Amino acid sequence: MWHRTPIEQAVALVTAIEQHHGRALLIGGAALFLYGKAQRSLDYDLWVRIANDELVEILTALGFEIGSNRPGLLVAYYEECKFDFFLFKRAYNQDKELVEYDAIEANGKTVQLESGTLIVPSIADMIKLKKLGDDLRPKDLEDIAYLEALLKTGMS
Amino acid sequence: MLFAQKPLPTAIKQQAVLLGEAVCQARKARGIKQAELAQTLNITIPTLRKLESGDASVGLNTCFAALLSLNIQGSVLQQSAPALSPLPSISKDKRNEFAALLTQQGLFASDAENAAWLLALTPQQRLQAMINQEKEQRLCGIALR
Repeated sequence: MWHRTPIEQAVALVTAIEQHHGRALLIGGAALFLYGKAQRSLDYDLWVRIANDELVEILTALGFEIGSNRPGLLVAYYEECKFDFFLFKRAYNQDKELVEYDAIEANGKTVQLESGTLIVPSIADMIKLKKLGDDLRPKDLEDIAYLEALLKTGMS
Repeated sequence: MLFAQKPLPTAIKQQAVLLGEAVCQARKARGIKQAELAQTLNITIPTLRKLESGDASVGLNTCFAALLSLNIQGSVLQQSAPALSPLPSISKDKRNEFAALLTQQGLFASDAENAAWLLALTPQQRLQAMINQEKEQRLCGIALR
């Protein structure tokens, strides 16, 4: 059995990051699940604003194993699960849209928990985030189509 | 239940960070070292570091002493950012209608039904659904790495 399941561990991590005065957004497939798309990749993505060494300290304390650690992206494992941590502040996506942490967070949507608040980007911002990176995989295109379908129903 | 510990509200933490930044900036602008200010305030350097890093556990008397000592006037605190809205949901009696809308947008009917079911749950229930799914995967021995 899990001590904590990966998403419970992600919530614990977000709480710990906030206690260190950092910030965190849940992005990627886990965030998409919260928007109703149950079929997802089995890794976990978090966009964080915290110093790299502080993040490593928190991850180690929570039992993560650090995989790779390069500027802007830290990979860690919790039991068998892969967690990607994005540490950049802003970037431009394939549509030349500015994707900036502060703006994405300001438009974020919340899940209120006993331990605090989990923030995920809005649907429109999830689409922007999906368009980061050099190549859009078929999975990304499928996710974007799903999110656009949600927007077209009037959900935002 | 996920965790028992009740953290401070985000708005309080944000204001504590603003206060700490104001103290830190004023100290540096006056060329005062942390050790000197700590001595003036009759506190330890770690306590001053806590204050400057926005730790809301620092006592009110210490906060006031620092503000007065550094002659920080005016409004240090700012209005909180507007509260974020919760994840969108649909009402349970609109599930079929919503699934039909998603199908019209090109989704497979089964995917649309699953999405409508999930979106009719509260955000907390959706998170619990994810936890349940993860527990089942673990029991099935799925290696994710």
